[in-house]
Amino acid sequence: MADHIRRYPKAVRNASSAALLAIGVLALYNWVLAPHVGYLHAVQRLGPVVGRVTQERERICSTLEGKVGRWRTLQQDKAELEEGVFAVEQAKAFARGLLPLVEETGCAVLRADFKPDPRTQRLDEPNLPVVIEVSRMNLDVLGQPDQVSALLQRLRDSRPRAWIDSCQCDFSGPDAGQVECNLALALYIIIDRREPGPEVSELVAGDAAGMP
Amino acid sequence: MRGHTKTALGIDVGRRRLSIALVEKGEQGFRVLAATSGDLPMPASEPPQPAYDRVLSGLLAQLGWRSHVRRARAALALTPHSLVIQLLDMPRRMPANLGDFVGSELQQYVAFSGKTAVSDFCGVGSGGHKRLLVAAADGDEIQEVTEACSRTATGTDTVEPSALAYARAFLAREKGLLARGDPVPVAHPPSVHRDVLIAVLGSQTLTTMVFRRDTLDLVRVREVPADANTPQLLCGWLAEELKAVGRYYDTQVSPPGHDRRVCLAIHDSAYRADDIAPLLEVEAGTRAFTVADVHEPLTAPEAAREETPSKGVSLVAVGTALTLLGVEGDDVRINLLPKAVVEARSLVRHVLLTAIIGVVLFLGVFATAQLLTRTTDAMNRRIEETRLSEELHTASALIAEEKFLDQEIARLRRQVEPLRKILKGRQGTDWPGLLLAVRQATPEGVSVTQLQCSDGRSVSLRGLAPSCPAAETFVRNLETQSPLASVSLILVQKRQNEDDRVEYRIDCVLAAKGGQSS
Repeated sequence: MADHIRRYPKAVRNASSAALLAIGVLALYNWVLAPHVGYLHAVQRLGPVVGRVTQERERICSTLEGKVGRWRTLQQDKAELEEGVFAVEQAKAFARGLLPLVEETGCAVLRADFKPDPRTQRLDEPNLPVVIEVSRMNLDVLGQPDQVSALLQRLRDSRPRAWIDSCQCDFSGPDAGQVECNLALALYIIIDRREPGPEVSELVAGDAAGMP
Repeated sequence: MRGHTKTALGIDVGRRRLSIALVEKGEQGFRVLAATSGDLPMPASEPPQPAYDRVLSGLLAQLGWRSHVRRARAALALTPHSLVIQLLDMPRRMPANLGDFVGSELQQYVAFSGKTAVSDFCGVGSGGHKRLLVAAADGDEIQEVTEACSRTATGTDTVEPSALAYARAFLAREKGLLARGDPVPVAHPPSVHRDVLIAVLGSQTLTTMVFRRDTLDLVRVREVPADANTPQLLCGWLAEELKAVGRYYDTQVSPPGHDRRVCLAIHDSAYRADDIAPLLEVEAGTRAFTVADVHEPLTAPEAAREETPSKGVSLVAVGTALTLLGVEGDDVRINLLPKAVVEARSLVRHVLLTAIIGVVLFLGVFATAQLLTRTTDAMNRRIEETRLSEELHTASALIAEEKFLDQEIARLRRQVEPLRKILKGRQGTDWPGLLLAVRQATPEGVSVTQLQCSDGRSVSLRGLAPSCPAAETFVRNLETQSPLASVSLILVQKRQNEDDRVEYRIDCVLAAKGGQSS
């Protein structure tokens, strides 16, 4: 082996050794150092990330409570607001049950107009996924003040709420002690934007008219 | 404070004896630190193979207490069977390759036919008298000795003929450059550049050298005749040889009577200087010869008498060590180390250097990897501590929660804002409460005939009161009722009929939620 190597010129031996060493260095770098260097670079990159996550976490912790409060307030507001609007079916049910409700309170219905205005008012908010239609009805009842008061209380307590746009109580009726109360009611009905169809107020009026 | 010193080990390999000397070169010159010698046993095998390595190991062990013996470079001096030393005049036209020129000159010698010859040359003299000193020897014989030295872990750097090594040590001693052991004044006065004839008698050869003004001027190698087997016959032959050289110089070079010193050194011969000297004086008919053994002390002559020859210093060993240390003015530099040995040593050095570089690189890479690992571990620990202390494991849940809340808030806003806009101004008026408040506020005798609210914000009351103060009382009573924010008496009018009562009209503003007027 030594004789075999000795036959080569010194320059060849030097070049061979240098090449061998270079290959060794490259191999050592690739197999030993490179993973460590890569890992170190990863850890160096992880450090600032951890710092940013820490800052982000502190920011979230400081704002989260406020956001939770805002979310609850909005939920409460939504629930309250939704008490003032009807679904279509709820509106139909309210219309069907209005006259029986009046009679339950002991009042007498003098006149009930479920579509006093031929024009339908629609509130179309672009940000709202639904359209809200306002259904108005006029109701004239006669009864004792307590009975009228009970009727007003029942209307107030009903959910969803029927809004009383105007109220006129006339205590000077032909029967002493009787009150003639004229109520203008408004129902805010939610209609799905994707379901075009006949106007809800007509359906509501139709349902109320078909009442036995 | 000790200055910069350099040491070298000289090895004198003879037929019968092997000597070594450790020489130091310091600021005050050369100094023999230690020296010893031992006889070579001759085994019964034919041809005899001296056990160089065993004897050399023993001698090195004797000097082993000096830690720098093993570290010192070593030079070897020997007298091979086939040895040619010659001075060549430089050709008029300088050849392009001196090595080829010397090689062609050496091819004339039949002594190397069939053998592997090693040769070397150097320039001696200066100016117009520049000549080439050429030496050649049997390479196999030299390689055998160098390999024996290598087996004792003594790598020889140079190999030269013993005669040249002796001449170097002799001249250095003559110049007062050489001392032995602790600094001791040298007995001989410094040389004044006179001619010196040095003859070295070996076991089979006589090498005669003439130095003129410290420059080698003549070299002659003669084989000892086979019939010179007695001291008398040997001395007769020696006298004739020395006289021949002297006569040549007297006639060709310098006039008779010129100051010339003649020294005969007995090296590796069967006879001692004490045996030869008186016989040589008789044969030569003069006392102008100095006969000495190469194993002699460098100190005072009285001390030398107390030492046995084995305890003396081989000037050949010292001289060859001086080759490595560098003597000022010495231009005789012959190295007969075989090319194969040089190449093998170079290869070993090359392999060792490569291995050392490889090991250093590996260690460097290992250390770097350790450093990287420790750095990474430290950073990892810091990051882990931060993760634990800052509870970063909850960060993803918090981020998801915040994202969910943001989405929910946005969704609720999208739903609530339009509803709020639509139902803006709508307030659930407490109609039963209003009616009750009006009833409670109505004084005795006052009646309400009409209650009207058309916009959900104001209420208009009409009725009859017995008198204006009664109507005003009604107003004051209404003002105390919480559903009403403000109460104003708008009209009081006496009725036109027989009734004394008055008509009134009161406008009230309903209180908004929270007690503010809407």
